[in-house]
Amino acid sequence: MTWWREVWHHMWYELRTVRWPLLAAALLAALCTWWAWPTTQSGSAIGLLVEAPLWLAALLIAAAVVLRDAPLSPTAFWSGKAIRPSALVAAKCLVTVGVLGGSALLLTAVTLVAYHTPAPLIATLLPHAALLLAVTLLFTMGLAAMARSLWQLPILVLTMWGLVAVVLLFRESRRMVLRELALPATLWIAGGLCVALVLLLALAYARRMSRGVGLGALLVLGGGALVVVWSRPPQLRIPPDYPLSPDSVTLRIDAVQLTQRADASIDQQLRGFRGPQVTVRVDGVPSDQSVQLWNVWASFELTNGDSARSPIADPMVRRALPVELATMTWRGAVDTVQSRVDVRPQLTPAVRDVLVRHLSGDPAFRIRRIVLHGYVRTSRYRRTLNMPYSDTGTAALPGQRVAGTFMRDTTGVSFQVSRRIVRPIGSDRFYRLLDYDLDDPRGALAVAFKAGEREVVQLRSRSSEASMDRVILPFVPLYQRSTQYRPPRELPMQADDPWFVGTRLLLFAREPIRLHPVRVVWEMPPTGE
Amino acid sequence: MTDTTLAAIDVRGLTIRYGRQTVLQQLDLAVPAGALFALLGANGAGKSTLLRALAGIHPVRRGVIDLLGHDRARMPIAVQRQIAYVAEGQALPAARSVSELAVYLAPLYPAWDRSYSDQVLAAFHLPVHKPVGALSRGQRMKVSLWAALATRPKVLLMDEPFTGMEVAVKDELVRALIDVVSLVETTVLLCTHDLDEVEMLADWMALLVDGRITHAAPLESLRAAYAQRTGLERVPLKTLYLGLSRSETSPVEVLV
Repeated sequence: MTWWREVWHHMWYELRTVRWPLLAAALLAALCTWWAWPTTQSGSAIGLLVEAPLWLAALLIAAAVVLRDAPLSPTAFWSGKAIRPSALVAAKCLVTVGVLGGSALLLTAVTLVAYHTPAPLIATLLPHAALLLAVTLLFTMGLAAMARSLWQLPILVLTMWGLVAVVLLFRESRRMVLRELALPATLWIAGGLCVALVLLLALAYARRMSRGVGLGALLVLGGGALVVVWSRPPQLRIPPDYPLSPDSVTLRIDAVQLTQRADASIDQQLRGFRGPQVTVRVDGVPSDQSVQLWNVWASFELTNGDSARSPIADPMVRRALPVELATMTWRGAVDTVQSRVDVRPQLTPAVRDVLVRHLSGDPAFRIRRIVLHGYVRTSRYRRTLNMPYSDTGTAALPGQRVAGTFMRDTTGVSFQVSRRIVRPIGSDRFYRLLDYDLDDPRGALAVAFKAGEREVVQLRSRSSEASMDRVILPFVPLYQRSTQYRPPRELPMQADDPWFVGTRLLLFAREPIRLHPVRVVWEMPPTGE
Repeated sequence: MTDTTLAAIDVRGLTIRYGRQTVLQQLDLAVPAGALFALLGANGAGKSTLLRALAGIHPVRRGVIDLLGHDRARMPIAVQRQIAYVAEGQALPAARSVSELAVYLAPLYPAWDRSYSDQVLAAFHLPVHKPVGALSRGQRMKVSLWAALATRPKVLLMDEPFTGMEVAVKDELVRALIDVVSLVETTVLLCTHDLDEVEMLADWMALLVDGRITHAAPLESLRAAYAQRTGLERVPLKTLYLGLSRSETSPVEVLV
């Protein structure tokens, strides 16, 4: 019997042995996906209730596959049999990662396709999801390989999830040592760790390494893998010379809620910019209805008219544009993440559809994560930003960008804005810094700012009602607020050059949303004062 | 028939430690091809460790083990398939039936004899469609033995396979074992505490004391030598074992 034939032989035997647990897990996953998604979000209480048993089932199956032929047990059935350890490990990995992980991945892909996610986005997301699944399952298998009986499994699982919790806490602390890694490197590292985990499993079987050595190696490898994979959602870098253009100014109102006795229409100006003013008007509202609640997805990328480097004109830039998209967890819940594909984010109906469906499907939704991006480019000017809230303000060198953002609302009543960063920064790291989790169930508003010459523009909710279960955010007005700037060391600059501001806003509320075919008109006058 | 010119199992300078404790120390042992070799020794003498090392379960870092003329550490899979290992307490796939086990094991062993397998199953009175986990302890031991015998092994390593079994079952198994060995000319290394098993099965015997083989010879030679030394006319196995265990003299005979 050749090696491959032996692998297949073991694999089919394993599959036959775990067929019922596998089928049960698959059925549970499908049911949960159908029932719970998109009404719950990954990370929510219900989502956790749904996901936890699925993950537990998957991990139990993975551990059981290994424990049935525990490599360290001298009384294991395979011990003393003429079985190639490498073939046995390969079969177990194929069954666990291939079948368990593969089915989860398939579920993710199907869900993405069902939500009209463009193929390039799916292709971007799936490798990351596959690696995450593979590392998690292989780590569980490795821990199981270090055990000798099923009784140790709860301890192992607790150990593992304890490690995950530590990793997440570590991530929350935003002191990731590997933060600077770009995604391709992350993929390579995670893939390498997968290989290392498989090799470790093979060593455990073939060489029967001591338990202490195996556990130590597993903790190092698995911990590293988890740190890398969990800490690096599939975000991609923005190129250093990301140009901004009036063409990229977009505001989209995805859905409105129609109520009685409200204004017939809304004309809303986005004030506060020194640059172009954007007027938004909603038409097409039935005569007996008015717009009360908005769900606005707006994207502003204003420039001083450097249209020579329009994103449309530059295919390289188009490829680099960030896109809001949805990724799936085990049961197919949605997280909004970002990726880089050859589409313009503002003009991607699939992305809008994902969000609209997501928002409209659940009366108690909440967005788990909102990714903002914003840029303030100082490519031609030297400027010192010293904002009132700044604690790390540094001078931007010529040719470098200065980036900043304000976050974030937690109360739903007033937006507590705090400055995050003002310093020259790479766009990839900037992305990382702007990746926030918004967990406040009453709603949250991601706000952005524009840093002017001697002022800071902040976004605030001008009028908002808040209660425990309802937040109404009519719109996001902007207003200017003078701030205390120290006199900067300025270099000559054109008086009317506005700052470059790129901001994406996502407003949401807990109101049920009735989609209504309103017509949204937005106008943007030519750039310039 | 025992072929004393060829050692099916040849161990040289084997040292195995568990942490700081040395279990086997510079152990030498040669088991002739076709021998029914009983390995005796006190609890903790290292019998099970030796058998696990022979079976490839315990890694060997010092010393050399040759089985069927091949180094255990670099043994081709084809040779491994000629070696079977049966141990007391060995786990079996509880959810699978004997017939399913046969389907799983048969392709792994080219020498798997289907008709002989059925024959052994019938002789052992094993329910073939019942999950192994639902079988009694004695029946599970029979399954282990069946799984080993059906491969027609040239070397059969048995670590106290009959411990705790009732006499009738044990006799049944021992007889089956003797039949198989005579049929296939299997070299059997039996590790046991039970002198009756040795009496029934073995034609060679070795004594393992403190991690070393102190005596290893044909059983009758040991009896004769012991009788000559002690002046006894008849040497029961128990007397021989106790006498050799207490003996501080050099080994009666060590085959290398």
